[in-house]
Amino acid sequence: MPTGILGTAGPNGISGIEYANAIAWGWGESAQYMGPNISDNASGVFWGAFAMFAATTASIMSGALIERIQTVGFVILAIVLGSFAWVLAAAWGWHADGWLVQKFGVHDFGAAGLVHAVAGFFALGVLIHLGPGEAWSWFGDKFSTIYGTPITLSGMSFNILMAMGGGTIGAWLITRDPFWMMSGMLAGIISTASGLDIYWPGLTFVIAFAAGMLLLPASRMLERMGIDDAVGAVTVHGTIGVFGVIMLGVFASGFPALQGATGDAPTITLYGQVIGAIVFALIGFVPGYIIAWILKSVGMLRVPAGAEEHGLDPVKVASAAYPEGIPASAPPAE
Amino acid sequence: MGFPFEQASWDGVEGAIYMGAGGISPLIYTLVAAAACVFALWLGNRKEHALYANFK
Repeated sequence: MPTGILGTAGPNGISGIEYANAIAWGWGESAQYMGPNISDNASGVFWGAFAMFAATTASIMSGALIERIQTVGFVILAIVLGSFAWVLAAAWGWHADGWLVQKFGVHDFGAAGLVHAVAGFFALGVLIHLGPGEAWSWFGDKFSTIYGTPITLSGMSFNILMAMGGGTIGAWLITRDPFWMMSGMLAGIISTASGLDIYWPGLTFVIAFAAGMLLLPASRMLERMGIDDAVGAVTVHGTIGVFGVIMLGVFASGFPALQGATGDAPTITLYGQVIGAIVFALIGFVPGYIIAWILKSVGMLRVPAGAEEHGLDPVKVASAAYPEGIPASAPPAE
Repeated sequence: MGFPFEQASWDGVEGAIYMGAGGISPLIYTLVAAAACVFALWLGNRKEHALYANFK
């Protein structure tokens, strides 16, 4: 994926059309990075890690579209999101030569924007075409980040734990609802993901707490717009992802965004983080909206009303998902 | 199938060791794999719509 808009090489020389041509094609010398190669043990593993992120983006989207999207339509959307949309965001905002990093000092270590916001807003683009569901629902010597900046495992562990706590309690304060408290735990991590490498644990708690409090109002706003986001994926990943990217600009402006000599490294700014958040949201929303519109036009997006009402398990799955005698939808215990 | 060594021995082997390394056959395998995926999607779409037809 191009790390700049024009496809020219960045200052680190590990980007641009020429570099991509040398490593990214599936034939000739370029193909050697993926096959068994005695002199390169890492490139395929690195690729595998990114493939895992691609699967993550698809799983985020799946929660929003659940129970009413066609399987093949979903697979096509997952391919576009996982192999194009988020990868472009990573090339621009996660790569040392990415133009968002170099020009604006964008820093998104834990991928609040380039994975979560991209996937969340991609899902929003799809949901606009998919429509609401039926009227029911269910509930080394120095460790470094991907930017080459220093990190400690203990600091990151504390930050994640405090973010989980803050998000859960913030959601409880507003909702008193276990569903949103669990989502709050996730929202807490996402809201602090951009700066898990440099935040102080107490600060992650505060940011995550605010994110947890934001969940319900943000979700209600979507519902008022007629968007049925079944598990709150747009809110938890999209809205909170954007919130997390911007919060790093509020609290960490002036920090070096990238490893580099003094004065050379781009620095984190609120302006840069806002630009990054907008770009990440658009990278998700625009292709999601367009591909879903195409699928809807050819009848490959939404399942027929009869199948949706009957339930997709008995319509499409040859085997029973639940043991005999246990209905798929049991009434709540008294 | 693109044997990459001068002789059948692991002695002194370095770099890429897969069949067709440096040639065009990896592209052919990739295209065949991609075509199989597209075929599976096409077939899946047909089967899916056949099932939906019972509930329209």
